[in-house]
Amino acid sequence: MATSFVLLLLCLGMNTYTEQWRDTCPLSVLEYHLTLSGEPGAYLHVFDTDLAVFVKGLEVKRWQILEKRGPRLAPRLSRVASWSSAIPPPRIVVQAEYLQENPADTVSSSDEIVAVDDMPETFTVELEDGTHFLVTSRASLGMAGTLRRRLFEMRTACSFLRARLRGQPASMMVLYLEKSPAQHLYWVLQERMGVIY
Amino acid sequence: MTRRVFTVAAVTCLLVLFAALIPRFLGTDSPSGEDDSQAVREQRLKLQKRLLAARPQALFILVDTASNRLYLRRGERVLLEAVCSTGSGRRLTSGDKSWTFQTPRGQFTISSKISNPVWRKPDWAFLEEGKAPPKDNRGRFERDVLGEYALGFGDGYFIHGTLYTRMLGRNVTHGCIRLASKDLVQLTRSVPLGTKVYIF
Repeated sequence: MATSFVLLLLCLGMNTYTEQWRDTCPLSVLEYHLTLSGEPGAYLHVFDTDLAVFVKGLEVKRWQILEKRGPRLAPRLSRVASWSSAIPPPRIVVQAEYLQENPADTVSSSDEIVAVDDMPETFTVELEDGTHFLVTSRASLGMAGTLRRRLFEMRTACSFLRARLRGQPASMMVLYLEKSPAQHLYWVLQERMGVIY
Repeated sequence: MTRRVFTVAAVTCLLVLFAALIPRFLGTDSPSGEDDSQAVREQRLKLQKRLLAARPQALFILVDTASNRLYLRRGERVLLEAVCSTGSGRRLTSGDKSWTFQTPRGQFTISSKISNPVWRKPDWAFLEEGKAPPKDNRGRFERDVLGEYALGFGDGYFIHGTLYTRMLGRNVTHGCIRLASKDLVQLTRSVPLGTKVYIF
């Protein structure tokens, strides 16, 4: 009984912890959440140490940010304009003319589906206000992968500079995540998705 | 030749260093401080209340297509957590027609509940089997492949059962959401028409 009570308190405490940001964040962040919670789709909130997905104001996923580099800014709301990766995820296209007749089988084999594990670990998210998020995992890629990643980072930097030259209030942030959260984040991205950062 | 290689390498290193240092030096503004006055506290409470009120309070279904999980929730409470299967992302082309098998994302509503649904096979189902689609409805109907129930949430998409339970938890469907029988029955009995479905 005592153990259950302690566990209950711990659970309540944990629940309170994840919501504590509402007590200390700037009022503008709450207003942004109010705006985005009225929309049908999911939206993101980039905290200092975590990245969370919300649906209708409810937090549905949270990942730890291992490291966040970039200028400290007043909270902003923008939307996803585009995203790109060093290695694009696979696109499985099957032409019906080449399929052989076989018994009814709606099951796809592993190489005919696109799952979250196929998503890239390093990618850039460009927001409508010109801000660029470079998201990368710290997984060791070997020399070839590191070089490709560096080239991709340079491309991202150039794109960010172009946004600044256009007069946009752009910033550039680098987020380091574990491999799986980075892939999940790529999966979740949608055009015009709200981002509070 | 060696000098040229060295020059290119040096320039590349400088560019990489520059790209790495940009985030440290460029930004537009600094975080604004807010005082903790009574007015600010009151405004914060108001906003928090409005935010809480904006959250779905009634029953709703939440589908995570990355993890292939379906949740039935009432507010913060999770009433059912089920392993499901969602769209494969595969694209099928035939001549000038193409279909992309993805589960749509966004907000939807349960608009129909069907018992013992019969599947009317669309053209792509025949093409996937290497067969030509029939010109009429003959041979299009299959029974007992969609489970006990089908919950429609618009545009021909359903939450339904499956014969392929070993594939649950994977992105293997043509866009619909598949559940195991036990979860499907519990979900169908719990949700009325009009229940919101949020898919991300």
